[in-house]
Amino acid sequence: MNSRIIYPTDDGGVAVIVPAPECGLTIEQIAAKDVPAGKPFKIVDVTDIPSDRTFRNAWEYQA
Amino acid sequence: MAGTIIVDRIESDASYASSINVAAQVTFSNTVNFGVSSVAPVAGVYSPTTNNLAFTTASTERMRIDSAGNVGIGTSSPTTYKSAKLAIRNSASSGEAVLAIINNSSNVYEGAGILLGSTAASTNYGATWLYHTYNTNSPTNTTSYAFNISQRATDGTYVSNIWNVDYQNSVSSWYRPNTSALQMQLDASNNLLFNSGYGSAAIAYGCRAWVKFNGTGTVAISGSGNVTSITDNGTGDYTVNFTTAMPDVNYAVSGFSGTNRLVAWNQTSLNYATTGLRIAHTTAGSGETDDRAERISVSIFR
Repeated sequence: MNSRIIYPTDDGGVAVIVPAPECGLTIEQIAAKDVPAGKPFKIVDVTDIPSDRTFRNAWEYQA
Repeated sequence: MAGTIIVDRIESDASYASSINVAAQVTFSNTVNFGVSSVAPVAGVYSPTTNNLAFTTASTERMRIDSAGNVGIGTSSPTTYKSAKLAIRNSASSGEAVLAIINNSSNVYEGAGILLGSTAASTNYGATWLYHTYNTNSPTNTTSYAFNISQRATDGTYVSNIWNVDYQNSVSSWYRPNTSALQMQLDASNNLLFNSGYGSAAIAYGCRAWVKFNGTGTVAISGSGNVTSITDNGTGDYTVNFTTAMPDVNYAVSGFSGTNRLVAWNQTSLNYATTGLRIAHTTAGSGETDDRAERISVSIFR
């Protein structure tokens, strides 16, 4: 899958859900299952996620 | 002589080689009543007891239809065998088959050799299809059953077989051919035991979930089982999300990443849930989380 799901964490950061290609679920189904209840989320392309993780904990979620 | 002969009785005196020859056919226009006779004809049909019909060859009864319509071949008491409507018994000891069913189709993939079906409402006892009586000397034994599938080599030895024994105690066992060595068993508690070179059959504890992913650069999963996703929570901080939840949180975890790095519990979040497991990837010694793992493997056992 070339999609990722992002949602804001409680400490102001951002969590990125990486889908398992072999799980048999769609990205929407994974979002419904693995995003914590009540959290806003967005489905983005993998290229939208920085590959440089030097400052990973400084990432922020933008609605 | 042409025409019709109406007789009250035809009887042959055994002292004469008498016979009745009919060039075409004999037609019975009404009920054929064989009466009750204890003397079996050489080859024919007679009624050995009231409401029973028997067929003979060589002066021996071969097939019986009893008063209830049950059919026995090789036995005059078909209902002896679990009240069977049809019982076939071969008492010979020279290894003949009891029943041969030949699918003579030119296409071996067409049709069925044996087709078993049932409209029985119960899916329990009555729907068990094939029995092999455990005690071959007592084929009416109803206390213990074994199901046997076997293949014999030309020299008569068994080359493969599967025995499912002790059915009525809810234990199914498979033994290695020609031995009493237990290879696999489904026990009364639904545990699956097998011996895959361990020396004895033991309960198999399965890996309930596993995942391999890289934790650096563009995080991606390269392989998984019972895992829908991992959540990248931050530096060296991941949650493995299970497809099917664990029955409880008493599962064991095995993790691997690389030299001088560890996959550890995330002690700060303590997210040890039935739906997922939160882990930390740390540098050995410092205990700090890091993102330099190209291969992180996590397995869950329960």
